[in-house]
Amino acid sequence: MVPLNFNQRLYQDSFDRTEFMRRLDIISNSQIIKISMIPFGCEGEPEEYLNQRFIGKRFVEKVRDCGEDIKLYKLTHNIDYRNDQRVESGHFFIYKHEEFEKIFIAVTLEDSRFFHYELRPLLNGVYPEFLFTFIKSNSLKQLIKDFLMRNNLTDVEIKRASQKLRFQEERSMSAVTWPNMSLEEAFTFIHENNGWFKSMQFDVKRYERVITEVFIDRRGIVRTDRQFSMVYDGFIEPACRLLNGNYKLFSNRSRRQTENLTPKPLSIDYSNDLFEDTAVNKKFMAVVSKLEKASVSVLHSNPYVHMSVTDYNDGSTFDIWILKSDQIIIVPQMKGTVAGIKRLVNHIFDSFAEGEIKNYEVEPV
Amino acid sequence: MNEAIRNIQKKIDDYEQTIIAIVGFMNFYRYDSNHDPIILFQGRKLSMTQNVNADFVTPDIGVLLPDNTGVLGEVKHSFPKEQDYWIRTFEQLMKYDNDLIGWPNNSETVSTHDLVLLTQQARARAVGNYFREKAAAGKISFTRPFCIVEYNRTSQRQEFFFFRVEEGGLSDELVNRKLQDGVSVPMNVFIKEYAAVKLYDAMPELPYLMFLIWNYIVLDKASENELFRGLAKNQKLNVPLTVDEILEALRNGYSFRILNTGNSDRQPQIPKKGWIKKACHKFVTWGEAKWDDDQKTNITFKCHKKYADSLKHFIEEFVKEGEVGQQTLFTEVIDDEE
Repeated sequence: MVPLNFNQRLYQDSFDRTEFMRRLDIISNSQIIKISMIPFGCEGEPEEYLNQRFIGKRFVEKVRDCGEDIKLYKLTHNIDYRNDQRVESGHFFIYKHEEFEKIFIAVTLEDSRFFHYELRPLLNGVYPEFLFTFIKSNSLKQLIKDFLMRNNLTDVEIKRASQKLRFQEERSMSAVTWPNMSLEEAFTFIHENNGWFKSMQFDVKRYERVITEVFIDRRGIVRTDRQFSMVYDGFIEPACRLLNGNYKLFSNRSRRQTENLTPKPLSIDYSNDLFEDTAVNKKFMAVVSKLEKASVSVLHSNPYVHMSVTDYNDGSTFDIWILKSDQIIIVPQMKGTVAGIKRLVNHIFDSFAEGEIKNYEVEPV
Repeated sequence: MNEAIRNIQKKIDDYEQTIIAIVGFMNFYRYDSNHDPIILFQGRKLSMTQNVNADFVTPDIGVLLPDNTGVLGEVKHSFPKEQDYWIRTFEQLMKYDNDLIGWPNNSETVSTHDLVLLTQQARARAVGNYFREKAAAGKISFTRPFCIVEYNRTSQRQEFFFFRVEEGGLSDELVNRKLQDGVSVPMNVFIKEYAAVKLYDAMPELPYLMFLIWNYIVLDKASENELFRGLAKNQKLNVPLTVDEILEALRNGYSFRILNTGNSDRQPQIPKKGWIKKACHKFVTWGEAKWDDDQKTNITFKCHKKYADSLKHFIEEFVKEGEVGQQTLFTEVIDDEE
């Protein structure tokens, strides 16, 4: 746990959002500790799902309200596994995004171990109430480029990256590679090999000087050692925007919520004729069939595809149709929750191919 | 066993293709005729008298046009090899060649209506020849305009359903002109209908009906229980339902009722209660549910999350029991029970 004497003012004072961000920026630029941020979505109040609750074996209690929509929590994990008996604990803040009603950001100044092995699993465990964003490979590249341009930065040097390549020996593989590779080289490789970055850690430079180090993963989780505000604006804000867009697009899709039970389909559009080769249909069906905690049935496989998916997490049910060579149509049935839709879309993007998800519009005949 | 499984899968596919053909054909009148508004219906009871239950017919296709005319039709995705059985389909159509009562308008009648037989392209020419031969011999005759329309699925960069007149013609000039030349309808245009309508007025293969009940009704209801999310693969959750609840959920959500939601005694009662009872009985036999009363109106499903592919599971179980081929007989017995 970070000693309270260093950040005791932050843990003890009351402040508004502006002041909170200002203080984080000051702490960040002291170059002593890293700040980790996890943007997530929640349709209710996160406190309702966290305070005085066990999430698995992790216990959470609210320490205090620091200001409007900013709360400080303490996480305690009593580990008792074989010879490993210890207590892990640490603090984290959760504050509400000022513009997007359902978007929150968890922030911690604790060390990497707490961040990766305690806070991330904790928030993951509050599924489907807490949802994370999803940054497509191309979007991640664009985010980094925009970040450089907006801040007059000149270069990115990748220190570490974890990637997955689709359809490799019939399963995705993960690897940590590419020390000192340029941004363009890395993304070109990943694109050519039909893969995506799970996470990436890189130094950002202005000429030869390292300005900040950034860790970012596909779910918009960010960790940085300097220039908090700059990194926040460059990565967390867009991640929040994406997530808010997901909520808007995926909400109220259940047929039960529509007039006359009319379906409200979504489409995933591709820029190329992916399904022109019917062998790709087979790959697609094999991929969807691997969706965990779900029943997946194929009703028609060739030349068009019609599948039915029931999500065992919350009972959401979807029909999937491929009727054009560049499009997948997803039709939520009576129940199609935001979490259920997101899980299915993420799975298709992760394991098959990333496309553009949108409201399905019938083209004029 | 594999062949038996494939046979059921094909029948399920045929069932879906029939629904697609019905939706596609009816929508020619919605989008390609000059008529507006039109009313589409499927499986509606039409009779010779005001008595709803007296000797009625339930056409697969019904179109009511605002000029007080209409279209009634039958879809026969596949005809049996043995031509002796083909006459039954035409006999059915000849029953539609009457001044039927029960159309969804105030008078419940129309001034006249067309008759249509839709069938797959592969058999359409043979069916056309059969009709011409029997008509010439006086064994088949229609007093109203009659038309045989062939359909087929075609693939290019996208999927289409192709429709073309094989015999006769339709009274609506615009629709007739299109269908005489042949027209391809992109399947994605009617995706909302295809996705919502899973049942028409013929009983589907039992494993498919069980799949619909399990995935779309039982799991849906189970998910309302807070214990559902944490349910481990080896655990079960009791889900009490009544046969009527299942029936209503499927009727309101997954039948052609979504095309015409008005309440009427003549509205199609699809699925039929007998179908649901048959499926429930099978769930009980397989240990997936138990009856809660002697009248077999209340049933408790033992819901679980074991099946990675529930449709495949139900088909395999069905084939294992050796029930394939017996369903048709049973269907005829229970078809009248509503």
